[in-house]
Amino acid sequence: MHNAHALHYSADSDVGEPRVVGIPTLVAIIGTSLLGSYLLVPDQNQLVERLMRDQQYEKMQNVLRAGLGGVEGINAREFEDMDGAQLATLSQLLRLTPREQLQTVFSPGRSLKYDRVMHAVTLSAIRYVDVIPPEQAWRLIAPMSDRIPGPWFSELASLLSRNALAISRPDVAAAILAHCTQNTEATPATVSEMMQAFRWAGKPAQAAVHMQSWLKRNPQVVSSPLKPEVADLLTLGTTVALEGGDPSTALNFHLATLSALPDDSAPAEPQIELALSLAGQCSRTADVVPWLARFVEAMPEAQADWKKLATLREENSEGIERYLRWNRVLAQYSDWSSKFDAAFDAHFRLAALGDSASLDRCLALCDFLGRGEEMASLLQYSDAAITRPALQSRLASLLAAQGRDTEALPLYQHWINANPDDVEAAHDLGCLLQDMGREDEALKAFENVIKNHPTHIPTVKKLAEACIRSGQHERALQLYKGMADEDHDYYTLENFALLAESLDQHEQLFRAQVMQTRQPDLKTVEPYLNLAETAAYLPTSRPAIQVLEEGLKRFPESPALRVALATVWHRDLNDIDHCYATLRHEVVRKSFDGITMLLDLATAVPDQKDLLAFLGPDIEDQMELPPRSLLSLAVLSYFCGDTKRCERLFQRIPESPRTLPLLAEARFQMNNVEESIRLMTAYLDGNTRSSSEDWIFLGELYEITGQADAAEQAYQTSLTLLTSDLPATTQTSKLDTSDSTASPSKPVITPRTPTLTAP
Amino acid sequence: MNFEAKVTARVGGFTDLRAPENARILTRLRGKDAEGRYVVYDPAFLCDWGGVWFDPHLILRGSQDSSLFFGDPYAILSQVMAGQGVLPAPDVTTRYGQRIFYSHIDGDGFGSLSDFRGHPFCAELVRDRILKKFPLPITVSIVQADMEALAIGIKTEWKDQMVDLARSIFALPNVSAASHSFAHPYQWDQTDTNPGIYTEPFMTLKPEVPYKSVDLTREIAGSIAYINQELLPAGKSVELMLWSGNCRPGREALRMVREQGIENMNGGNTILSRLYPGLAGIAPRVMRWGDELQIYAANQNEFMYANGWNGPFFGGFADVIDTFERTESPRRLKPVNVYYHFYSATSLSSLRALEKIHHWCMEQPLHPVTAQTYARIAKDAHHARVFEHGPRHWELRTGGHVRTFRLPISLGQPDLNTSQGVLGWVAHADSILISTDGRHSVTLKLQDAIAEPAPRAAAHLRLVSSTAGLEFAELGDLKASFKVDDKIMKTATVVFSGLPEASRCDLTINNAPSTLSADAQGRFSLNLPPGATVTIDAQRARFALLR
Repeated sequence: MHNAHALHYSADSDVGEPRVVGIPTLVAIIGTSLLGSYLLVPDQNQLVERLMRDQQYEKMQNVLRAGLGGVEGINAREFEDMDGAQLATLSQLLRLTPREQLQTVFSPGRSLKYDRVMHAVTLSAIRYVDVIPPEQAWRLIAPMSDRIPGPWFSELASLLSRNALAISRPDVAAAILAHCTQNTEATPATVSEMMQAFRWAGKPAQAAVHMQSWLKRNPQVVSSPLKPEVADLLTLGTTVALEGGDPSTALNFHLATLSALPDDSAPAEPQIELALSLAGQCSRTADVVPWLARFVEAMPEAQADWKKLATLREENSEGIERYLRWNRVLAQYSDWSSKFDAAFDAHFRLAALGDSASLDRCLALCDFLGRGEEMASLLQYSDAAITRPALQSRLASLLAAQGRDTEALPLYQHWINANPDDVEAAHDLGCLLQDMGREDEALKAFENVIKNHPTHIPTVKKLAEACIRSGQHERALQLYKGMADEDHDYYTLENFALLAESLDQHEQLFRAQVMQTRQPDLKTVEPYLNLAETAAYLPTSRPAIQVLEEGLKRFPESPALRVALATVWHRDLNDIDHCYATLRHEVVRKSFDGITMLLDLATAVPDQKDLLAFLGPDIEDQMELPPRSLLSLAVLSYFCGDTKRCERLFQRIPESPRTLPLLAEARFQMNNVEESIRLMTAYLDGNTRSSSEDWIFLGELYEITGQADAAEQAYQTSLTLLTSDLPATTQTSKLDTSDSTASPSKPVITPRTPTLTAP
Repeated sequence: MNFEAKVTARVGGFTDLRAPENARILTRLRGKDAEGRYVVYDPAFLCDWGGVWFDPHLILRGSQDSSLFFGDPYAILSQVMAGQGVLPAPDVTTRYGQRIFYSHIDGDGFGSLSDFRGHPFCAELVRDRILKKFPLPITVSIVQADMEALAIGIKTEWKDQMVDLARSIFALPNVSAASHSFAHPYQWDQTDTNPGIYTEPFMTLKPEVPYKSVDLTREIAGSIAYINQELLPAGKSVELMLWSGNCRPGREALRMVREQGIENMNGGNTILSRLYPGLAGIAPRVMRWGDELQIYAANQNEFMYANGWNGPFFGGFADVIDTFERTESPRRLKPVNVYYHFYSATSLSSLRALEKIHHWCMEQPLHPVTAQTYARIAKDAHHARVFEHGPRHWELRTGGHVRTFRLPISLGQPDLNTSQGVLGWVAHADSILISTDGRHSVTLKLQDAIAEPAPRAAAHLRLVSSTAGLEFAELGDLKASFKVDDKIMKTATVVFSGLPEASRCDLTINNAPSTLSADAQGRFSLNLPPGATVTIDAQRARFALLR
C-alpha cells in the first residue's frame, strides 16, 4: 500500500528547475504539499471506488493484487461482479494483519461470502507459520468448514497440514487432514497424507479408524481394477491398522484389496497368508474362507475329480502336497467359521486321500448337510470301510437312508454277524427289512435283538408290532405285558389294550387302561369309562374304584365318569350307599344316564325323601324319561307320600305289551297286588314271547293273594318254558332290547369258561 | 370263518342269543352263567331272512392298524344279500375298462427343508423330480398359512420364494389346484364327539398371528380365494378341498365346500398291504354327514407306510405298490391313488420311494384322471340309481361321471344292439366292467356270452379299454368315430374288440387314412395322440360276410 501510494504520488508530482528558497518558504511549501496531498490524493478505498466507477478493472486488480500479496488466479472478471460494499470490505481486509484477516473472514457473526477473493485473502494470511501458527489458523477455519467449497477447503487444509508438519506438529496435521477426509472430495492422496501424519504422531489406530470411515463413505474407490494409489492406500492402511493394534480393521483393508480382484483370478499366496494371519488375530476366520476357497480352487489339483487325487499324488507329489496343505487349512478355517459345506468339501477330498480325521469329520457332517450320497460313495470307493470295519454299519445306514436298501442289507448283515452286540445296528437291520416290506425277516431280526438284549425297548415295541402283523397276537400281548409302565407310550398302550380285549385278558386290559388314564395329556374321560366296563370282568373292582376316584378328581365335571364309578359300586360291589353318594352330585342333575340310574336305585337308597328332593319336583318334565324310570319315580313319589304325582306319572304310561310288565312290577312295589295281577295277566295272555321269569312273577303274585291253584299253574307254565326248546326265532331270554335303558339290576351273564363249539 | 383271524372263544360281549332253527351257524359259543347254567351264544349265523354277525366276533383288533376279519366278508355278505337279486353296481375303480389312476398331494411340508445338499424346499424337489418328470395328472394343494409364512418353522424371508415356487408348480400343465386349508385344522367340527387324539386345534402359528380357533370361512372360502388370486395362472382355479387333520369335516364344512362349487376329498384311511393285511382296512368310498357327502381318498397316504414317519428309514411308501396289487386282485377294490405330502421329499429314501411308485404307475395300463374327476365319479356313484326293467334288463341313471358298472361275469354280456349308451366291456376276475358313454340314462340289456372272435353275423365293435377319455360321436356295429381327450399327457392306448377274426378296417386318425387288421380274437389296439379325431370303418367285414 505504501509503495502504491508512493508510486501514485510520484506519478502526479510536478518537477521544475532547482532554486534556493528560504526555510520558512520551504516549510510552507512542504506543509502545503502535505495538506494538498491529504486533501487531493485519494486513499486506497477512494481509489478503488473511483476505479470502480470508471470501470478501470485492470488497474483495480493490480491495486488489490498487490494488497493480496501476489496471489494468482484472481482475474478482473471477479471484480466486475463485486458491488461497492464488497470492494470496500476487501479493501478494509487488506489493511488488516493476517490474524485479523482470518478472524474477520471466519468470524461467526459475519456473513462474508467465501468467494475466490476471500480464499485468496485466507491463503495469503496462513502462508507463513511465523505469522500465525497452523494450529491457531485451523481453530479459526475449521468451525466454518461448511461455508467453504470442498476443493478450497482441501487446499487450506493441505497448506496448514504442511505447515504443521514443517513445525513438527504431525498431530495438528493429522487432525486437519482427518477433518479433511470427511469431505466427499477427499482423494486417496489426502487420506494417505492423513495416515502418515497420524503415524508420525504415534496414533496409527486413529488413522485406521479415519480411513475406515473414508472407505465407508467412498466405497466406489474399491473397484476392479484397483487404481495404484488406492492399492497403495489399502496396503498402507493394513500396515498402519496393524501398527495400531487393530487387526480387524487391517483385515478389512486387506479384504478390500482382495475384493477388487477380477472374478476370474485368485489371490496370491502371500495375500492369502496375510489374510489368514489377520483373520486369526481377530477371530474373523469366516471372512477369509471364501478367499481361501478361491485360492485353493484355483490350484490345478482342485480341478481333478476326487477319485483321481490318489493318482495325482503319485504323479506330482510336490504339487499335490501343496494343494493338500492348503486344502487342510481351508477345511480347518471352514470348520472354525461354521462354514460346514465348505468344510465338508475340503475334508472330503482329504478323506479321499486317506485322511482319517477328515473322514470322521465328513461322517459327522454329512447327515446335517444332506451329503449322504457323496459320503456313501466315498466309503464305497475308498478302503476305509475295510480298514475300519466299524464304518460298515455307518455305510449301511447311509445307503438305507437313501433308499438303496438292497445295498445296505448285506452290509448290515455282515456287520451284525461279526458284531452281535451292536444292538443299534441290529435294530436298524430289522427296521430296514420292515421298510423293504420283508416283514417275516424283520420279525426274525427283531427276535435276534431281543435274545441278547431283552430290555431294548425300541426293539420290543417293533417286535410286538411285527407279531401283530404276523398274527402272533398272544406273543405280542406278552411283549407288551413285559414292558414296564414307564416304557409304554400312547401307541403301545392302545395296542396293548386292544390285544388284551381281543384275547380276553381282562387283567392285562385293566392294566393297559390304568396306564391310559395316567397319560399326562389326557383330555377325555373315555379311558376311565372303558376301565369301568372292564372292572366287571375282574375278580375285584376295588382297584378300578380307586382309579375312577382319581379320575373324578381330574374330571370333576364329568357326569359320565360319576355314573361309571357309581355303576362299579353298584354292579360289582352291590354298595348302594357309595353308589348313591357318587350319583347325588350337581353334575348328575342334567345327566340322563345319571338320573335313570338313580331312579333304578329308588327303592334301595337309604333316604328316599332326600332322593326325591334331589331329583326336584319336575324332573319328568325336564327329561324325556323312559317308562321304566317314570314308574320308578312314581313308586318313589308314592313312598314319599306324594300320591298325586305318583298317579300323574302312571297316567303318562299307556298300557301296551311293552309297558304291562313294568306297570305290574311298579304296582307290586306299591303293594297293589291285585292291580299287578291284572296287568301281568293282560301281558301274558296269548303272549308267545313270554319268559319263565314272567310266569314265576305271576305265580308269586297269586301266592300272595292266596290263589294257590293259579299260582301252581303259573309255576307249571314257567317250568314248561324252561325245559322246552327255545322259540324258533331270535330273542333274548332276559333283556328287552327295545328298552334302551338297560337296567344294571338285570342279571348279567358272565360265562366263566366259554368254549367254542363247531357250528 | 377263520378267514384272516382264527375264531376264538371270549367272554367279552357274551350274550345269551341263539340262532333260529335251520340257520347256518358260523360261530357258536357256549359257557356258564353266574348261576352255573349253560348258555349258548351264536354271534354269527345265516338264515332265511339274512343273517347276523356281531362284534366283537366280526373283527379281531390286534392294534389300531390291524383289523382282521374272522370270516370272509364277501362270502358271508353275498349269502346275506342273496335274496336281493343282482344289480349292476356303479364302479369307481375303473373307467373305459382301465383301472383309474389319480394322485393328490396334501400341502404339509411344502416349506420344509429337505435333507438334500443345500436343503432345498421339499416342494422344489417334488416339482422337479415328480411333477415335471411324470406326465400324469396330479392335484396339488397348499396350506395358506405356510405360504404367508404365518406358520411356526416358516421364516418370513422365505415367503416370496415359496410363493414363486407354488406359482411355478401350479403353472405346470399336469397340475390341478386344491386347497389344504388356511391353518391345517386337526379337528374340523367342534361338535364332533369323536375328534381323535389331537391336542391342538390346528397347526402351530406364530404368536403374533391373530387366529385362535378354527374359522371355517377362512379355512375354506378364504384359502380357496387366496390360491385363486395369488398362486394360480389364468385359466386355472381351485378344484378340490383336501381335508386335513382328523379329516372329519362335518356338515357345515362340507356345505361350504359345495357352495364354493368344488369337490372335497380325504379321510377314510384305506390301507391294505403286507404290513396291514386286513380287508377291514378298506374304507368306504364316501361318508354321509347329514345331507352332505364326504369323498374319502381311495388310499392311505405315505405316513402309515413309512412307520408313522418315526424312522429310522422312510422308504416304506414304496410298499403302496403292494397295496395297488392287493386292491386289484383277486378283486378290484380301489383305483390307484398315489396320495402323499410334500414332506415325502424330506429324505432321499422317501423321495426315491415316490419315484419308484410313479415309475410303476407309468408302466401300468391305467386311466389317469384328476382327483376332482375321481371325486365326481365317487359322488355320482353314490347318487346313481339302477332300475330293473326285466330279467337282465336295467336302466342306469347317473350324472354322467360314473361310467362303469360291474356285474358278475356269469350273467352274460351286454347286447350292444339293444342297449343304449353302452360302449363295451372288459372282463376282470369274476366280473365284467361295462363302460357307458356318460349319458344320464343308460339302457343295459344282457345276453348270453358270445365267444371271441365274434361270428360275422354277431359282429359289433365294442370298446374294451382306453387309457384316456373318449367322446363318441358314433359306435355302431361296424363303424365308430370318436375324439380323444386333448388334455391327456401321453399317448392314449385304445383297444376295441367285437370283430370277426383278422377283420380289415379302414381307419382315419386326424383325417389321415390307413387300414388295420384285427387279431385272431377280433381285437385291435390304437395308440393315439391327445385330441385325436378317429374314425373306424370295419364294413369290409360285412362285405366279407356277403361274399
